[in-house]
Amino acid sequence: MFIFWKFILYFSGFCMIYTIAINLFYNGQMLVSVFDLFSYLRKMKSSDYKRYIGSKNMIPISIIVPAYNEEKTIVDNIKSLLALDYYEYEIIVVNDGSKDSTRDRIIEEFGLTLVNQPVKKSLQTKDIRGIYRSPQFERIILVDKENGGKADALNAGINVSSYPIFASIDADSILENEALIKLTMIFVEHPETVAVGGIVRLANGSIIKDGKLVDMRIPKSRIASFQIVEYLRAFLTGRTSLSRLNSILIISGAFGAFNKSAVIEVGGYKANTIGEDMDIIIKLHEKMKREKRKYKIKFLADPICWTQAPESLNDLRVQRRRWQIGLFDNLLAYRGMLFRKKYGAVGMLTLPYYWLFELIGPVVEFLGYIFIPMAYLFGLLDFHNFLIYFIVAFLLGTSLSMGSILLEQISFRKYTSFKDIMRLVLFALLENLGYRQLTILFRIEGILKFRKGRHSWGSIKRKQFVPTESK
Amino acid sequence: MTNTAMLLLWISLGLSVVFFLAIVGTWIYSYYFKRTTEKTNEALEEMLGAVFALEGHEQNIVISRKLLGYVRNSWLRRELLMKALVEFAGRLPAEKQERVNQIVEETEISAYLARLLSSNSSSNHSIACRYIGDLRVSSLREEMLKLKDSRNNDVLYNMLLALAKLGDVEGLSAILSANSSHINLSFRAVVEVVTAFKGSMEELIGQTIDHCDDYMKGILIKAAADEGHSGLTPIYVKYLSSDNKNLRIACIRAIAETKDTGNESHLIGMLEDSEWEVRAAAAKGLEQIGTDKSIPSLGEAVKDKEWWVRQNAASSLVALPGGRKYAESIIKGEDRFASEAIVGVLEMSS
Repeated sequence: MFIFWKFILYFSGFCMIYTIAINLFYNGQMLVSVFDLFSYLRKMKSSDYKRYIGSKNMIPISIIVPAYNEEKTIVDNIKSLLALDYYEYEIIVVNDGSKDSTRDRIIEEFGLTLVNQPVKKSLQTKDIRGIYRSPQFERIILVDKENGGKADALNAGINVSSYPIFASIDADSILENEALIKLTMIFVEHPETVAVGGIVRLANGSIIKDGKLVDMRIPKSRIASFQIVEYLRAFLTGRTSLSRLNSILIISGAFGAFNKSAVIEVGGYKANTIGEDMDIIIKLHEKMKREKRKYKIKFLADPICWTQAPESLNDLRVQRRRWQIGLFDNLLAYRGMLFRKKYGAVGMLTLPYYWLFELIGPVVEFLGYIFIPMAYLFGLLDFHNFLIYFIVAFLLGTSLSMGSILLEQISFRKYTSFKDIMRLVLFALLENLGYRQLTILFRIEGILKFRKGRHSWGSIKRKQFVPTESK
Repeated sequence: MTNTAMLLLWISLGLSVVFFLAIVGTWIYSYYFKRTTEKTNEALEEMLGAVFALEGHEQNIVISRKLLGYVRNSWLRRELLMKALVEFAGRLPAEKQERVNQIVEETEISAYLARLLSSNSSSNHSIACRYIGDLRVSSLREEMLKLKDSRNNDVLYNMLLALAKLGDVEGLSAILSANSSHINLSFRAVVEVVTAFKGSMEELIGQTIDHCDDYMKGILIKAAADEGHSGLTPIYVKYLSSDNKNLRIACIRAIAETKDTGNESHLIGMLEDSEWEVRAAAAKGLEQIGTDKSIPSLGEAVKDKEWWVRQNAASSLVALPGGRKYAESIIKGEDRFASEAIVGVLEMSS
C-alpha cells in the first residue's frame, strides 16, 4: 500500500511539473514566433511580390487537388483556384476513385472531355483511367484514377504536372487570391527552398462568394469556435517558431508548395498512410541533412488557405484520432533520426519535442487528471497546492491562446469586429474547461487504435461553403 | 513548493491579464490607426493633386512647404506620402517625373531615405532601396551602391531593382559582372530585375555579357529574349557553342523568341546536341520559327530516346505547315515511342 501511495504522490508530482513545463515551452515558442512574425511583416514592407503577379518570370506552378467524394465543395474550390492572381499555373484535380459524383460535377461544370495526354511515370501510382481537359478552361486538368488514397492521388498529380513547383491543396479549401504568389515568392527569393507551407484558417461561419471569402465571422458552432483558437495557436506560434529554426515537421496537406524534383528524389508521397503530409517533410529533411545539402523548409503565416473545421463531436473525434495516428506512425518510422546530431535541430529538438509533448502529452495529461485528484483525496497533496496547480495550468493554457489571438491582432487583423475578438477571448478561456480534455481523449483513442487505424482515413461530413449573407 | 507555485501563479495570471489588455489595446489602436490613415491619405491626395496641377514656380514652393510641414514630424504621414508619391509617379507622364524628384527633395524624403541607408538594419536598407527605385531618386545612387556587398537577399534584390529602374547601366553591369555566387537569388528574380531595366537593353547586355560568368550570361540572354531584342541575335548564336548547357538552352529560347525563320538552321543543328535538355529546347523552339525545312529533323527527333524530346518534337512537327501529314506517316512506322508521342499530340490538338 505504501508503494502505491508513493507512486501516486510521485506520479502526481511528475504530471504537475510536466503540465507546467509543456505550457512554459509553448509560451517560449510564442516568444520566438513574435520575433519571426515581426521580421516577416517588416520584410513584407519591402517585398516585391505584387510585381510578380503578372510577370512571366514568375515560377509556373502546378496546383494538385486530390479529391475523394468531394462533390459538395469541389466546384467552389476550382472556381477559387481559377481566380488566383498568378501568371502561369495549371490546376490538376485528381479524382481518387470517388464513389459520389465528384468527377461528373467537374466535367459538367467546366465542359471537360477525355483526352489522350501522355504521362511521364516518375512515381508509381494506381492506374489512371483517363485525363479530361477543355479548350475553354485550359488551366484545368482532371485526372480520373483508381482509388489509392490521398498520397497516391498526389503522386499521380505530380506525374501529370508540367511545372517545376507544385502546390497541394485540399478539395474542401479555398485560397486567398494572393496566397499562391506570396507562398511561391520564397522559391524566387531563396532558390534553395524545397517546401513551404501557408497558414490554414477556418472559414466556418464566414461568407464566401464565387470562391472568395468576403466577410470573416466567428461561427455559431461552439466546436468550430474552439478550433479557431486552436488553429491560431498551432500555426501562429507552433509552426512559426519551428520554421524559424528550419525544423518544421509538418506542412499541412491543405496548403503547401514543393520543389517537384526534390519530392521525386525522395520517392514522392508515402502511399497507404494517413500522415503523408508529415512523412514527406521528414523525408525531405532526412535526405537533405544526410547529403549535407543547403535547403530551406519554411512556414509563412500570411498566405491563407481557408478550410472548414468539423462541427460535430463525431467528426472532430475522427479527425483528431487520425492526426494522432499519423503522428505516431511518422515518429515511429523516423525514430532513427532522434537525438542524431547530423540531423541538426530536427533530430535534437523537434523530433524529441513531438515525442515528448505531442505524442505522449495527452497520455500524461489524462493520467494527471486521475492521479492528482487521487493524491489530494488520499491526503498526499494539500488543498492549497492542489488548487494552485489547477489554476496555474488553466492560466498558462489560456495565456497561450490569448497570446495567439494577440499575435493575430498585431499582424494580420482578419477579425475586425470587437465583438468577434471578445468571443475568441471567451473561447480561449473556456477551451481549458472541457474542450481540451475532450480532444485529449480523442487523441488517446488514436494512440490505442494505432495498429488498426493507421491505413484508414475515416470520413468527415463535408458542408458547402456559405454562399450568401446570413443573418 | 508553495513559494514556487505562488510565483508560477502570479506569472501565469500576469501573462493572461497582460495579453487580454494588449488584445483590447491593439484593437483600439488599430481602429484609430485605420481612421488616421484614411484621413491622412485624403489630405495627401488633395495636396499632391494640387502640386501636380499647378504650373507656377511660387505656388509650387508654397504647396511644397505645406507638404513638408504636414509630414515633417510624423513617420506615418511621411510613409503615406512616399506611398502616395509612388502611386502618383506611376500615373504621371514622363515629363512630370522631374516634379516628383523635386517633391522628394523638398519634403526631405531623400534625406530620410539616406538615413535609412546609413542605418544598421537590413530591413531599413531594403525599404530605402525600394523607394529609391520606385521614386527614381538618382541622387542617392552612390549611397545605395555601398550596399552592393550585402549578404542579405532582400537588400541585394531591392538594390538591383532600384538600379534597373534608374536605368543605371554602370551600376547594374558592375554588380552583374562580379561573381554570380554572391547573388543568392533565383535566376527568375535576376531576370525580373533585368527585365525592369529602364534603359537600352542592348547597351546593358553589350557592356556586361563578356565580363560575367555563364550563369549570369544565361540570365541576361533570357531577359533580353523575353523582350524580343533581335539585334542581339549574333550574341545568341555565339553562345550556342558554349560548354554550359543552360546557356545553350537560353540562347535557343532567345533565338526562337526573335520569330525570325532565318535563324531556323541554328536550331535544327541543336537537335543533335549531346544533352537531352538542349535537344528538347531546340525541338520546342522550332515550333516558333520552324518551316518545312525543319520537318525531317523533327521527324528524327520524335524517335529520340528521351521522353521530353519526343514530346516537344511531336508537338512542333504537328504545328508546322505540312508537318501533320509527315507526322501521320510516323504513326504507321515501327517506332512505338515515336508513334505514341505523335498520337498523343494529335489527340490533344484535335
